Amino acid sequence: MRIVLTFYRNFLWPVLAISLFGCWLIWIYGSWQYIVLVFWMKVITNTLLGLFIHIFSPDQFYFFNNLGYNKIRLYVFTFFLDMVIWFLLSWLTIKILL
Amino acid sequence: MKNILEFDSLDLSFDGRKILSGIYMVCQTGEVVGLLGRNGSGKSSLMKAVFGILGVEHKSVRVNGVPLQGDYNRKRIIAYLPQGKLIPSYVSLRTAFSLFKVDIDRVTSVVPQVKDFVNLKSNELSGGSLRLIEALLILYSPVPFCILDEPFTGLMPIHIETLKSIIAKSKHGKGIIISDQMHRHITELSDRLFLLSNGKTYEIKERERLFELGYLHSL
Repeated sequence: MRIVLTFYRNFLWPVLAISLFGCWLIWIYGSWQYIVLVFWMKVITNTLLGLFIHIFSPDQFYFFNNLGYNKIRLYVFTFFLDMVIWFLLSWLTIKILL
Repeated sequence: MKNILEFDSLDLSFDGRKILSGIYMVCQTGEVVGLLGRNGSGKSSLMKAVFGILGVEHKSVRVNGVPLQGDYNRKRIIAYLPQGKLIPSYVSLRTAFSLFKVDIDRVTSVVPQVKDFVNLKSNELSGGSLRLIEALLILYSPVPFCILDEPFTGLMPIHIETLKSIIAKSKHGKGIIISDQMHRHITELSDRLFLLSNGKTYEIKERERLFELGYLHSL
């Protein structure tokens, strides 16, 4: 988990910004109605960030390869971690709102 | 018990040009195996393929006779120091040592300067200091085999001597494959020496052979 968190820190701010944007939509409109939209935004931004790292900063994968994580495992685990964080933030927003 | 890493039948081509074929190398715990070769001869590709991060047409990598297949990085049998940077710029040295399960005190007992750097991130260090630390990270990792690709690049002479002495000590308990253009250091350190030429590996028993195979102009 620490290994995935270390990789996640690499692009924490942009993905967190999308998650918080989703929470803001819930807060403003008072419902989950934009959740599908935010989900696809997250899928797209995660994919673009993954591509960006893959193209412009591929050397960092040697570090994670040495720790037993190949690119696919890293991307998949990081995506799920991001989804969990987003879901928790959205759930907290709803809880506070209601 | 000695562990043995062997690899052969390794074929690699780029754009129809054969880079590697007819490879055979063996490394066992307790020895340093040197790999020499001209620029572009395929040393780095060979090391990446053995580490398991470069797809090749065919290869056979075995540990104690058991083939390593699929994503064998997960088993953490081999640690690899790439030719370029190892530690990403957003990772502090303390985090790197911790993730690699390397005891910082063990490192600072050998290279006391590391104590001053341990809370810094990799992009805050000079190239030479970072290279030394990255090499230590790999050498002290709890894995039976290490592959070092150009570990002496950018190191000042005193650090080269330090690293050589650490490599010589680290081989007790692990097998080390090392490649560098500073062939004298490699020759000095190696218990066994191979030359990669025309895609094939040749075991070098006498220095004259390096000359015969066109690696050195003169002895």
